[in-house]
Amino acid sequence: MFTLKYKDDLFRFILSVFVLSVISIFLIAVAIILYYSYPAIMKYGISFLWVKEWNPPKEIFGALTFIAGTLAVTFIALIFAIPLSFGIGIFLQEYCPHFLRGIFTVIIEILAGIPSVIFGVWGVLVVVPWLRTTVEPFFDKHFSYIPFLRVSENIGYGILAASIVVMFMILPIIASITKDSLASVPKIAKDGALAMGATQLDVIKDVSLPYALNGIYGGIVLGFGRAVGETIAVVLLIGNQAIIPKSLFSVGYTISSLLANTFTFAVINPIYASAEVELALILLLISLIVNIIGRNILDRVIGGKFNRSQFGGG
Amino acid sequence: MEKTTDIRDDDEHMAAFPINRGYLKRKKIYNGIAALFAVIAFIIGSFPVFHIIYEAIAVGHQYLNWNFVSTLPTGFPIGAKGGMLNAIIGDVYLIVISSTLAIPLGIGTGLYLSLFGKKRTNGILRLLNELMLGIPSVVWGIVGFYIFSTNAGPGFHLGFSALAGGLTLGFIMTPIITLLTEQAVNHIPASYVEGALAMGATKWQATEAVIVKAAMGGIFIGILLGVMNIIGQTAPLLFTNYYNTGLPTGITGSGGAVGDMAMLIFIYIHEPSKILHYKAEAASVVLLLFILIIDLGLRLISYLTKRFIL
Repeated sequence: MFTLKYKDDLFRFILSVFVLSVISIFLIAVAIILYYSYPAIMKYGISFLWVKEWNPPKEIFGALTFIAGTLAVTFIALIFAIPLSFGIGIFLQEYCPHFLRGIFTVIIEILAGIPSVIFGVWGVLVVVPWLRTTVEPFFDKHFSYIPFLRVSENIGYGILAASIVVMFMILPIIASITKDSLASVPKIAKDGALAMGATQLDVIKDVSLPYALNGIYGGIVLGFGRAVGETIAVVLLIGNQAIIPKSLFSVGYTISSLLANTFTFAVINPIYASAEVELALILLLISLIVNIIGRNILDRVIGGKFNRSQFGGG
Repeated sequence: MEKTTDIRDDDEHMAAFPINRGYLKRKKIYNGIAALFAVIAFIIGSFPVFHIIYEAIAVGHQYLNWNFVSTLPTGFPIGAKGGMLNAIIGDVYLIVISSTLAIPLGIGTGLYLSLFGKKRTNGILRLLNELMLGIPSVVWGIVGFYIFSTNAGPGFHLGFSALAGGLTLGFIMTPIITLLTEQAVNHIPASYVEGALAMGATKWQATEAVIVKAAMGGIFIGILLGVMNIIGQTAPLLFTNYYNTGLPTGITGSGGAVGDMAMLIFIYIHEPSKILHYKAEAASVVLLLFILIIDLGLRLISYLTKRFIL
């Protein structure tokens, strides 16, 4: 009996050590970002968020350009992704024939598993030439009087190219959560409506969606979190010029792509590095807040059901 | 004899409930339009899956041969001749190192959550795990740089090396394995564990005899999902390992950096050289193949263990 008790305690002790290690990894990660961004926070204060200029040789650092680029890519990607993933979720859960649902779901899961660098390569070799040769000349010809749609440089790279690819990367998250939320609607409520002569559309509109809407909000919030942190595909597609985008077709720069491009040079100068880490802190805070909100909603609606689309790619 | 009538056409019965046939028809049409929109959305959403694979094969097929995966890159610019053996070997290094960190941590934390956790601590731990899942990979890269790679300040001073890159990837992999382990253990019917405990087994004995066997499939799925995630990661490696066109001579310090498939693709597509662009697509085919094989493995385990948690 003594050895049994001993083994059990040892087992519990080892597991506790592992748990403490995981907690400390998280705390160390947050501490490092805070510690190394502290000099920049002290030097530039809150105005870091709305100063436009980013000039490393003169040590003037303002994040506005990159925040604007990040928000532009994220919101445009979300505007495309929300109706599409909504449609995909509804299709998979409501309209799709039963025997095809499995294979169609697999296709969306594979989309979630494709690494972001491969999305980036596809963007460079397919999306950018398509925008350059087809879309941009079309908008240039017909819509050049709308400032938001003006094509200044017909190069294909820019906000739109990055948004399209990021849109495909966040589609599976929102679509699969929409599907799971719709699946959580009690069958008896749907059957009742169908028995009263409602069409499938009526059921979706009046029964399923009101029930599932919260879950879908959760999916959108998580998709937002993923789009904000997306790095490699955006680096390859956005054009990497530090200007505030004024048009859908203009080039830009996001926080994550700036970090990917310049962080290794920045570490030579402590205040430059610190400014970059402060940008990382902004990303970290957004992702933490977004995840707390998103998970909270999802836990309530689909009970924390495992969904593999949320960590594919990279 | 009683007269039977079709109630739908019986005006006498239905007078109180007039049927607006035009309204019904419109509803059907709206339903059809909604279905059409859903189908189109699905087609647009699944298009890139096929087009990415098609484009990668169409552009890269001329380099897809045994030579490409079995030789080191040479020529100028580097990679114009030769293959991607450095990247495949490097990925093996990275997977082994990150798994060494992430598998014990992930499984341990997952088991703790489902075996010993109190309700309150579990809530906090689970939240923390999900927050770790949500941290952008470029932020992990910066964290990894300051913990492992930097030569100044506190840290392990490992340089840009396989150990630094692998451990950083391990941070990304750990929460995935934790989540899947906890899910797998929670899916075991409570009677299994309770039965063992009622027979006087300690939690360790119950784990050894019942839980590990019953949850094995789910835990394997977690490990494979983690590996699948990290072989596609590029951003964390930018600051912790970068890239090596040859084979590593160690796992730390100078000469400790390894190649990596995702990194190779990223570097090749940046170069202004058509040949390297073709090779980037060829390497994408190889990387996608690895990912599809892992995905198939996941589904096989899921099917064989009758655990449809995917």
